[in-house]
Amino acid sequence: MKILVVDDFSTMRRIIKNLLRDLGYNNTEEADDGGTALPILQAGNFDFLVTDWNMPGMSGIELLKAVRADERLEGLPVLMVTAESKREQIIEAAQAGVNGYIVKPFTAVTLKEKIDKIFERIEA
Amino acid sequence: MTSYVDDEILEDFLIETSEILERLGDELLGFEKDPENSEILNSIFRGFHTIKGGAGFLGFSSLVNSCHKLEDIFNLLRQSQIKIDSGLMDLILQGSDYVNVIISALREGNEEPSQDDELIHKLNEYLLSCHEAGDQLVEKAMVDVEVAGEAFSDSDDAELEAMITASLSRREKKSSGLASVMESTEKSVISSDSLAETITEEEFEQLLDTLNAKKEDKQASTDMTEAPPQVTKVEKSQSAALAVTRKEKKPSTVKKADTTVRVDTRRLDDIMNLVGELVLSRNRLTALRDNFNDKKVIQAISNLDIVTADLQSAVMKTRMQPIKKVFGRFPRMIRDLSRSLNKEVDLVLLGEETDLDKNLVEELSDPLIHLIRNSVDHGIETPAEREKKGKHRVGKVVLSAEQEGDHILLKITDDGKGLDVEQLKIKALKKGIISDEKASTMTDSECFELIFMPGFSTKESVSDVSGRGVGMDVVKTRIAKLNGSIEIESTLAKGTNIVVKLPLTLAILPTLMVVVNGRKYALPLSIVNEIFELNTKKRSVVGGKDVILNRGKAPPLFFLKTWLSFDYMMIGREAKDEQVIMIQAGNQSIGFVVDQVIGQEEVVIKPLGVFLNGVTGLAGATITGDGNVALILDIPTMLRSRNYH
Repeated sequence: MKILVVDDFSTMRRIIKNLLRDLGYNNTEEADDGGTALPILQAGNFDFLVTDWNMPGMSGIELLKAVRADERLEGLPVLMVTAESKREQIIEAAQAGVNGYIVKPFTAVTLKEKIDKIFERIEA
Repeated sequence: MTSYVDDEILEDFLIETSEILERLGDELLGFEKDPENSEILNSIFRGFHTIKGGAGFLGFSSLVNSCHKLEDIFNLLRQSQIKIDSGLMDLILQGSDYVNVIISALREGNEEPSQDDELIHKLNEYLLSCHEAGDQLVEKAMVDVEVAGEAFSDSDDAELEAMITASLSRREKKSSGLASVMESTEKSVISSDSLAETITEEEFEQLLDTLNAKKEDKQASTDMTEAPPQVTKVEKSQSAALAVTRKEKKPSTVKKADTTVRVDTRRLDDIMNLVGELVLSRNRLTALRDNFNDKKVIQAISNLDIVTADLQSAVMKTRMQPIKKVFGRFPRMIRDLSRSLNKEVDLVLLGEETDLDKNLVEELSDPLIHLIRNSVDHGIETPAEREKKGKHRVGKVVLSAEQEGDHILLKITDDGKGLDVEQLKIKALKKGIISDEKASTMTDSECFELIFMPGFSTKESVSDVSGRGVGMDVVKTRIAKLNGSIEIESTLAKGTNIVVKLPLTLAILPTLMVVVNGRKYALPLSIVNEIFELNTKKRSVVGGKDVILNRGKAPPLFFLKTWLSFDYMMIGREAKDEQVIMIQAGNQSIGFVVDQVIGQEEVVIKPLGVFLNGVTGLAGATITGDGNVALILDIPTMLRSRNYH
């Protein structure tokens, strides 16, 4: 599975990549905000997108909306990383077509649960 | 620690966090000056938010807590629920200082310091008072809390969705699922006293179910109704258009991310050392060039000479950092200083982009802090005093940096009261630093030099601002250590101007090679003003001391051989063709006599071994072009050790 990790904080990208690696996902790439992520997504065959919410330039929610608006990416599963599970924020993301959210900080176990749940739902 | 947090990640986190904090420092002050600037506000909010996020993963709870509170305050600020005042600003700065304290402790390899309970308490109290004071308006605004602070408005979307849902879904769908979640959301948010109401896993799953069902509904009903799909299409193309414009704006950052690489400075130091060795080999080869008859060899050596010079400057550039690194902390310092001294001071920074060697940037910070403190503490008058003198009540301190050839010039200019020559003399006499006789013959610039004397302080009582156990003499020594010089000019009642001159790099030193008693010595070229032949007619004795007549003045003259030789038989014996080197020491010119001047040579400074370490007057050693060792002289300390200032 090819995964794109989007976060403006490079330490966070590394942490998430390491967590994914622990789960056996070794094929990851990084982008530092929505603006850089979108062309990468459009160019490569990604199976999964993990994106932070709060980023300068193009934020996570904007990226999500742009992904859903792109015919080629419409079906890409998106996991949103947030600092808090604020209700209105999550509702907004859900309406924009997010597949799941995960609250920082999280462990590999939680991440696995989230990913599994997303694919369960997609396959159902 | 878990497997995803290794030392490398910790190091990365600390480096990145330090960068964010540095930026935050600037932004916080910018924000105080321009509180309406939402861009700065959002950026500050995001800064603390980012640090908090990373700290959470690394398990730094004090850091998470402090950043969280600050983030909350900035959230309220950016929603215009509270206004900034200097009291709140102090609290915020205190908070960000504490975050800095934690990070520097971690950087030094210490444990995370325990939470500053008093600070957290203060922050908590502040946040609590904001909520208590919150009226209807505040609560209403809270509904819009944290829509990621971006242009997208949740409510618009929600309304649109609601419209679509209303026109499409069946009655029974509407009563459950999304609508109920939304309703309860609004209720709970309005009634809540916390910043944000959280959503549970189950609710989210339920929400996804509802949205999925709705989507299916929508698809099913597309054939029946024409209008709604158009609405969705418009929405889609809008966001698509938005994505496109964003993309067009982005390319510069995309490139930036691709072209930079983070390199450990130790690696750069290694490269610099190797280049240093290469420079030495090059020097040797060029010295040997004349021994070769083969034109091709000579050409190859010349080529090597040029390439080495280019390589040297290229490597040097990789170590360059804008002086902004140091300058960046001064606005904050001036703010704190003027508040504690009840003065009003404007700081103007010029030439922040000027690059200089990383090590120099670090070494410069303390001396500059001291000089600027001094300008504000001793130079700038109180607003009342200034107005009485007909000056603008706000004092001005200008800090500028510019490159001049292979040097950097740093100027600190204030429009304060200037140095009072008579007062300086009185003080110096009282402290026994100068004699009566000397005082009567001192020029103004010699008087200004007095402030660099050890044990000299222009204020009777040392204030907690300038006098932190170090004086201007320490500043001078530090700058001399960097092969730099410091000069001072001042006009009474008009202000003071301090000029610091520094080499661009510490690693390679341009020197003047001279011969004394048959030995080679290197003098830092930066302090050499003039070289001429010693003409006995120009020598004279004034007050029992040797002087040399030069350009209408009679600066003191010293024979380096008497200072350097251990062979007393050599002393007094005068060699032929002696040369005088005029050296600039502070505001003064001094002549040194050497046996022979060889010429300019760039040398790599090598530390002296155990035996010679600490010998006054020696800055180090180097290997010369002919393969011999030459000592590098440190004239300023040499003068000081002979009680000649």
